[in-house]
Amino acid sequence: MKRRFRLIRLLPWVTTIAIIAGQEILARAGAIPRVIPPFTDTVAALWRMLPTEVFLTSLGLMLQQFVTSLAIGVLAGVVLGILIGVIRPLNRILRYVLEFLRFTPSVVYIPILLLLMGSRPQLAISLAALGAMWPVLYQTYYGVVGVSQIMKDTGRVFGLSRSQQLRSITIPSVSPFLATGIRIAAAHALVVVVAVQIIAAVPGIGRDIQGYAENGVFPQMYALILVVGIIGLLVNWLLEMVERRQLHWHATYREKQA
Amino acid sequence: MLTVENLQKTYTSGGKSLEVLRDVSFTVKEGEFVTVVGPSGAGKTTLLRCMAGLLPPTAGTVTLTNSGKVVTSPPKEIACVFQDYSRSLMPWYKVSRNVGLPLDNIIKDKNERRQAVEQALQSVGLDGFGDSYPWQLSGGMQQRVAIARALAYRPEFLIMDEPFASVDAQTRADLEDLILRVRQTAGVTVVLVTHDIDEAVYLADRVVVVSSRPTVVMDVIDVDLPRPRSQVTTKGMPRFGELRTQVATLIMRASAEAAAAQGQTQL
Repeated sequence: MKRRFRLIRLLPWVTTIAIIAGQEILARAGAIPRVIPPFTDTVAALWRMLPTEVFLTSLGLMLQQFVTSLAIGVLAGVVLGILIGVIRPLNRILRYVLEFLRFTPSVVYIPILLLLMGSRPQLAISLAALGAMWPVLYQTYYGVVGVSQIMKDTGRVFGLSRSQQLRSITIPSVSPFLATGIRIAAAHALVVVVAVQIIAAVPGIGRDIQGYAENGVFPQMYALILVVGIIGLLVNWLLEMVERRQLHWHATYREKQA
Repeated sequence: MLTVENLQKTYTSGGKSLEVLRDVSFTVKEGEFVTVVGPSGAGKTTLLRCMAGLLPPTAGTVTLTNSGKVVTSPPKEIACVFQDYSRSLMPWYKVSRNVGLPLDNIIKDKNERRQAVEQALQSVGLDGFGDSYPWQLSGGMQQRVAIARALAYRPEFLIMDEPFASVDAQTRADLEDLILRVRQTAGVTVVLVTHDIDEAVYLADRVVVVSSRPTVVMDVIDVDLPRPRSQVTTKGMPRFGELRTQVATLIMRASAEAAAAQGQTQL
């Protein structure tokens, strides 16, 4: 039983390595087009690229745009989510407008904002912040309207002030929803930042990917794609860790002690 | 004393109205244990929420007779224990914080507050569990945390909404005896709502029997069973049997009337 369990745990690693090895062999054998170089070539390109100033500058710019847009998006989402959650008429009035805007991909505003702002970091930041705002806004909203009636009654019966109710009931009740919202928002923000860099030539890894692709320097291009992928993984892992710590009391993370 | 006078509650939403309480009046004397019993679907929870100042009644008043205060919002003299302990206790706080949170506004001294929390936990037999989270405890223990929280608040009136409905029979009997014990030491007046006739008779000095919706008081029955009560002796007394039959008859009549009324509206 125990051996079997270990095998199952190793399986995802086995498949990952198998796919990489297969790609390597097929590419070396010339069985797949030259635009997809062997994995080791990609890694070698990444290794050479890592210490260069060009790469580090682009990486820094991308991360900066990503972090700034996520912060703005989360803040705006929380504020608006609380507002439409608490002020019922506001929700009624804005309902259809918000629903429409929510499902419009933020990249559609690239042309107009490109005209207004030019190919500057602000362009990527505004669009990614917009993309990041929606999941946070709706998660916050569902969290706020979902605070249990009994919990609210409890706060009132025991004479908690408004700010005490906010601190010890509303915020903790909403935080699991918010955590999910932030994780989705981070994924969106990364997508939009890289996409805007590729499409609108805003400085960053995305623009470099486009540059390498246009010049047919495929190992370097894939090296950057690898970098973006790894950043996505790291961000998700980081957020999950914070969530696990902050929401240790939540049903998802509970460990039975008694 | 707590006086409920001609309480009415009608919910209206979207043009439709639902009359839940038609006319409810009764009094609760100081130190008394009053149970409110009625068929399921009677507006018992609505009644309690009005009494605790959580819900404004359509008409009528709830008055704290000592101070002459009319209850319009939750007064500091009243504490509640709800049926659904899992949603009334805060899973993000440890047991001691759950009990101590309402005391932040009442007891300024930190040490004094900690002592009050410990004392309350001790009185419900949970000393040593202050550092656990509520969800690490069994259902019965969680409800005892809720009781400790209410007691630590030092209310004059303890209002309980079907507090033992979500625990198993043995735990239920234990909790019933616990509440009889602690209300003596805490000197608190209790109003407890239940749909369980045995429980209503076993605990009470007086039983308020209410009808189905729209709710009226059918009768108030004095329970002349000796105290202290015991699950074995008290429930074995012929008088206990008589009283529970009396209450059961009223409730069956209420259910039958409700069914008949519904039949008429359908015709």
